[in-house]
Amino acid sequence: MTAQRFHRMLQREIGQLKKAPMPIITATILPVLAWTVIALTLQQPVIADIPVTILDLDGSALSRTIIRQLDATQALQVREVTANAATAKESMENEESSLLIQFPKNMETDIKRGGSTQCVITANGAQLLYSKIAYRASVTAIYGVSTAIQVRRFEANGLTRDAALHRAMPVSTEIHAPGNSWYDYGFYLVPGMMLAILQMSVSFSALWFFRGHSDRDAKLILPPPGMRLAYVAARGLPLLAANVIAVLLLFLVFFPAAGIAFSAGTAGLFLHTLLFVIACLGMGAFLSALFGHLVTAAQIGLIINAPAFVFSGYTFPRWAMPDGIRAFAEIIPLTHLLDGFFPRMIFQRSSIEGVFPLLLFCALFWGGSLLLVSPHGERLRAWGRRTATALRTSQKSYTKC
Amino acid sequence: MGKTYSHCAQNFSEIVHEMLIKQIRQCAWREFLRMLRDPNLVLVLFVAPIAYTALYGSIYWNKAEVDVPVDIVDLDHSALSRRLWRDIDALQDVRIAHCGQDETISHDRLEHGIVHGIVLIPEGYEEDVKTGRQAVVHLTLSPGRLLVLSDIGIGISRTVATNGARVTGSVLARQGVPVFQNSAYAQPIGVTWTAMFNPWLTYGDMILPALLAVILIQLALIGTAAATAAEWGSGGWEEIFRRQGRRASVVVTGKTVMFVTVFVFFSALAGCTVVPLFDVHVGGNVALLFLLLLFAFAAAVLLGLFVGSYFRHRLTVFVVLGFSSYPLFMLSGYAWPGSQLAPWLRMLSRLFPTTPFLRGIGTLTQMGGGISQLLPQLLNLGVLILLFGAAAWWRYRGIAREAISADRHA
Repeated sequence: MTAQRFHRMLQREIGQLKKAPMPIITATILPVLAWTVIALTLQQPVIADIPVTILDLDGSALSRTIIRQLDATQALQVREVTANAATAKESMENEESSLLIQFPKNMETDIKRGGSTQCVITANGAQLLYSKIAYRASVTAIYGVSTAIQVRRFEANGLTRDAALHRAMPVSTEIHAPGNSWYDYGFYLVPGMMLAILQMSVSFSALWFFRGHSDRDAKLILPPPGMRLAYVAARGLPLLAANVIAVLLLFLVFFPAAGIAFSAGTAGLFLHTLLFVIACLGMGAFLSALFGHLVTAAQIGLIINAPAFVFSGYTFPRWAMPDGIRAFAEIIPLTHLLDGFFPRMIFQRSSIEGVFPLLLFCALFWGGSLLLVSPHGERLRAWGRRTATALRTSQKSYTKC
Repeated sequence: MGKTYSHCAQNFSEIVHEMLIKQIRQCAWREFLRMLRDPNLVLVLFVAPIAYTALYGSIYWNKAEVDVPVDIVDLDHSALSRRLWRDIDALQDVRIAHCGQDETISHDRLEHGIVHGIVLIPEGYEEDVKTGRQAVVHLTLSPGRLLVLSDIGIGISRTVATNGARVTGSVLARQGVPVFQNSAYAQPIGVTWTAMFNPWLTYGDMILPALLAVILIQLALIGTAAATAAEWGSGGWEEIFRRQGRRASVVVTGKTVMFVTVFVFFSALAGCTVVPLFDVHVGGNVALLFLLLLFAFAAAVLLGLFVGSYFRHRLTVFVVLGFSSYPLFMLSGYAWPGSQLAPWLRMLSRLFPTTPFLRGIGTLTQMGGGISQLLPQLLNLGVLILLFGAAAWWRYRGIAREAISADRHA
């Protein structure tokens, strides 16, 4: 009997979704559009050819050597070499260049006399990403030339070539970033942003969970006792299917297109993402049952979803945030999915990080939703309405006074 | 005769002008009252600009990450290696969480996110440096954190190089090479590093103005589109066009005036409260900032009026336009450099008010730019105002025809 009832409900639900497909569009088409834009934006994920202006007040063979070394790096591109300070400054102010390197007058002469010289590097701090990469690249190139000069000087003092080389650079630092050796910024941004959009699409698609399939005046549907589970299953299955299709597209099309290849951790991450989808569907259903008006539910959904990426600690670490904000970040499901992303995708290890909080979210959101559509929930809402009316009345009488 | 004619014409134009102004004012006032009556619109248009900017801004209260936990794996265990890690610990950005000799423990801690970097000092480090063999210090950084890589990577490699140079200097001095007597001898080309506009290269200082700006402009777009979509439900189009006599231009102007006024007011309020609270640096002229806000909100509101008229309910506006925030922010070229985008995508991004607005905000707040630096963004926004204004007018003319005929049928 229950199976028959469920089947009938499922058929009716599919029929209604065909007539009013907004939840399905929200689950599949809208995130795909947003993912496409992000994938196109990050098509060139390794920063290269940062525009550099050289203010060459020396105009010597040495300065030209350094310029060639700078231009030969992958990160930098010498856009302009000038001897005019005003022109160089203008190119920085107009954002035509992100880095200005100044070679002082008599640089070569000073070096030949056994002295030293100072190059002044000025970066545009407003372009943070460029500044940091350009700093690394320019300092490496300039110190490379400086080391070569130093080696010649040590040789002149009687050291052998090998000894001079080692003395000129006694210790070097090798920097590794396991799993992302090219410092591919797309590797950070693509999955983080795409999963943030997934949270939005999944929870928004479930906004109609306890509502009629209409945009306007979608009244709350209270499934009769004994039919609640059948109702949840019949309503949830098509939504879950649509969202799983979106997740498959993400893993099979968008991640590989962004250079995130399949690895040992992909299967684990996929399962973690499915758990995340169930938690986010629960969040949408909870909002649907909690608020009197569906527009209010959508607004609250937007308030939770829009900042999810920045709160997750993905770009700015959570430990650097104030305590209250860190607590807010913990109640966003995305935070816990991203916590499990790196152990799996970079370190290729099975991890349960982020799984328990998501299980807790599933229990809270789905349990809360079912409670809200039960007679207890109805009483709770009636109390809420009474309180709101009382507040409005007292406010009006206060205004009249 | 001619004089009388010109006098009449002048009177007539004055009357028309006054009527138009009156109608625009009426339209704007109607919009304002409608907004006050709708709690959902009140939330988007009045509460969100302040509450949302305060919430987002508080993430970057500390501006930069300090004391990034790092493990030291000291396989040398010498006086020189201890000196090296003490120097690393002295860096402002770094905090040494653990110092041991087991590499696997530290790697495990890195994988679990307990630390974000490992400095490995190899066995024989001191001996290598003293005897003139090159030593290599390995720095393994967590690839899972965007900022750590560049922030602590630069500091640690500088400290390592300085430590090595100090020892080499002593050894060479003993051999008679004049490294201490003539410091220029040891370092022929030095580098002085400065950063214009954001001298400490802090993430919070860079991202906060853009974040506040993107919140405000997205709220303007979504709020206006939602208010426009709401006209379909309550018979609003029939009512407004009956009052204004099918004048689409008056309706577009009236609505634009009201929404721009509200958003400029709340931006100014955010500017007086949230901006000083989070210590956001505004280097440029405040009058120019006001001009930029005016242009940007006008473009966003006109886009909202146009786009919103295609939605039949506010709910769909919130759901659909909610997805635009991330792509528009990424396209704007603020967080991810614009020059990394394909040229066609760069052109496309100029069709959304977010791009010139964020660039302009960057120019004014970070770089303290003047009108000449701001002019390209103002021109871009000006073109968008004309484009979206024309599109909204064309769309509203169509709606006016429909609304009037529906009214007649009724």
